[in-house]
Amino acid sequence: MKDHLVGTALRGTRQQDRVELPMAAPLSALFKYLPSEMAYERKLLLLAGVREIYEMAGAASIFLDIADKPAPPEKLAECSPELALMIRLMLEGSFTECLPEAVEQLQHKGQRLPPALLPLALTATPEALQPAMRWLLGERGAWLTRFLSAWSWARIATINEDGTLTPEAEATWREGTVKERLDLLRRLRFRDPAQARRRLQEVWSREKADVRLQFLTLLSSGLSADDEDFLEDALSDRSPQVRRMATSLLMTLPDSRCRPELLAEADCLIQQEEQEGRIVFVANPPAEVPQQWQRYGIAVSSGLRHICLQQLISLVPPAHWEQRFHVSPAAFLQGAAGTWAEVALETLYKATRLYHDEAWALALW
Amino acid sequence: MSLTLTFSEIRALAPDEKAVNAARKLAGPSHWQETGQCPSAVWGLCQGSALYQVCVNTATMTTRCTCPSRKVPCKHSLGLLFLVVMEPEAVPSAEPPAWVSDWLARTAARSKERADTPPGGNTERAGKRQQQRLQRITRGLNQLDLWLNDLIKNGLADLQQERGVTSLWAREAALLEDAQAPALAAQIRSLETIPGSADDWPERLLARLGRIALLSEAFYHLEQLDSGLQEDVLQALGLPLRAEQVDARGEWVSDTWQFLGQYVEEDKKLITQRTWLLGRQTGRRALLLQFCVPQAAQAFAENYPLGRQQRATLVFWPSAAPQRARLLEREGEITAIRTLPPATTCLNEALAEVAAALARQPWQERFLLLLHDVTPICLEEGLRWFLRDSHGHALPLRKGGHWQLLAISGGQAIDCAGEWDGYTLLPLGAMAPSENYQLLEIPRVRPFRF
Repeated sequence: MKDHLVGTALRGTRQQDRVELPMAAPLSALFKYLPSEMAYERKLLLLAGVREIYEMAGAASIFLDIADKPAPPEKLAECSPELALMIRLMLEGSFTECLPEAVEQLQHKGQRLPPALLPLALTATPEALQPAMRWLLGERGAWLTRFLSAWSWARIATINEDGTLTPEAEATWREGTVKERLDLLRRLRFRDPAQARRRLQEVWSREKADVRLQFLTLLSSGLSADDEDFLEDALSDRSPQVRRMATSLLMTLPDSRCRPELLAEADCLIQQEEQEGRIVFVANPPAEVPQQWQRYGIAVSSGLRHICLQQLISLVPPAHWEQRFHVSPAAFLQGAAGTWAEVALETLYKATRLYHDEAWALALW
Repeated sequence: MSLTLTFSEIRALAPDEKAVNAARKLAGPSHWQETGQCPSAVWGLCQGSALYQVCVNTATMTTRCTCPSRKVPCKHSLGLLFLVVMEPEAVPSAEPPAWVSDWLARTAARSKERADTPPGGNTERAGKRQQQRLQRITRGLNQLDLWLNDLIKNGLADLQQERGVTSLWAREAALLEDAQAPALAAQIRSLETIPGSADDWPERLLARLGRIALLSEAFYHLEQLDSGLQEDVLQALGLPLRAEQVDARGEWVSDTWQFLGQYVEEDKKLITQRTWLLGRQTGRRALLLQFCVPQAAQAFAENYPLGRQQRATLVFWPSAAPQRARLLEREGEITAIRTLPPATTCLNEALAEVAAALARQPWQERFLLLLHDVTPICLEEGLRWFLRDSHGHALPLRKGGHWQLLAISGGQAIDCAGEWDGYTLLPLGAMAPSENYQLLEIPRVRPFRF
């Protein structure tokens, strides 16, 4: 009947015979009250209006046999409303430069964001901050991620209080994407460095070279002498990049076996000399490149002795030269002479980046 | 006391987003001098192009600033509120200085004056004017009826091309404005958006046209209606009541009013703000309306303590089912909402109440629903939303992402207040067990009137 009223109105009554308007129960009773002289169009309009109000009044709920499993209770305390407000402002684009610090502070305090703020945090957190933000979302935040695939970055594969992984986290570690597994290992390393190393050892031989490199890089946080044996093993890895990363990690361990070996090699290469009354630093490649340099990730080749030299020097923490020659970074850079002078900047730049040496970064700048 | 506004509440006060952003930059103590707060106000001096005196009356949320900006509230007033909320220690409790207490006294006197003004005027002349106006409206409606019949005669199919200022909708609306039925004119103008908007547009358009026909029919039989419904018909046509007429003929209700939510609709000509209130003791529902034109410097005249409650007296517009109201007097402290009035836990019962209200006044389009123990359901990555009661009955939610509601619930049953338009529910706020009532953020919407 609805279609009949609408259909008639759509085509226009001019175009068709004026058939009797068919009527169901409530409308037929009303229809009797309409004066017979009333225009056919007017009757149609009034009935349509009444039916609309009847339908609005008769609106019915639907039966929905769906219920989500509720979010588990929170483990962390909710942060203060003031802090929540500040984080909200930052997520919305004010004072964004403070967001990393705020997130870190909150993580440090072991607090989480209030539920009403979670959709914004899940939507607006910059990618670089997502691993840290994940800690602040609580159980509710993890629960919310199931509803929107764009929020999957926050699907926490949780680490239990005692440092063991939850079954979900175990599954992520076994079957997750590289990014998910990296995030998991980063957090595990933060909580339990030894377990993180042990888990990495278990899967080490099965991973591809670029994945091994990314995992190895994570060990720089929480690095200790306990990691030395594993890193020593990594010096015989198939990939030169992995060997190089392992070398740089060993070099930052003050008592590693690798450190004095490599420094001794480097010391033989760079000499302090006096030329025309000023102190200069000259680098001479070895007559024969030792095979063992391969362990450091250097492609040993007798034809490329200068390149091998640069590669070795770039593995030396730049601060070593300050101690050895008692000079400032700037003085050392100025004193680089001979054929080495041309590549000294580039080589030391690489070393500075590898060891995040601020004094040298300033001098190079 | 310490002002416990939330960010969204402050934002709701702002005339636009630009003012919010400017205000955030002023939310540091370095911009402020001689700040202070007392139970009824916060104040401070803000360094802009000059040193401005900024003060906010915390009972009424009215603001005052000596800056030349035409925006109300200006960025300084909003900045002061941000400062109080983010760094309360930067705004110590103090005795208000003279410029603050003077202003508080002046505004209190003004609002009392308004409340005390007796209604009336020259009733005889007013009655004659009203008679003339009713005659003009009758002529306008006669013409409208013929026009409506012609639409049906010619068929609705060709109406998709009718757009813009010269469309048949705009022409008819102009005639109704001349006939002094502005509300009806606005309704006709809004019909323009329906043809072609969705698959079922002919049905929706016919339903709207039918309601308009019912309205004009009701007007012809006005004397047969009871007095409340007469008022409804006249208001729906656009015969506004003056404030003193509302005060004289409407019902006054004092209660602790809970400001459960607000949203703003914006179209080319008008911005409409709807604020829903619920009486803590009486359980009465009230709708406060404010209007302004787009791009106006002055936003809405009054600010409300959204998501909170305050003792106040409202006057309802006379009606068969009173809903629209105006705030007469606000007194006492603004507090968080910790308990809501008793309400149904069954969605079908809530719909039955709507039906009963429609039976009293069939032109109502919006209803405040308060629902206890309901759970939001999110389907298809947030494309479809429902609110479900414990019996498994569910109502569809209005188009949009209701993520905040979902986050507050966490899959548990919560209490929720929302606006029902006959088809969908727009959630306005929610209360999780043992938490305070929380306002939901609702983006500005274009009117969607079907």
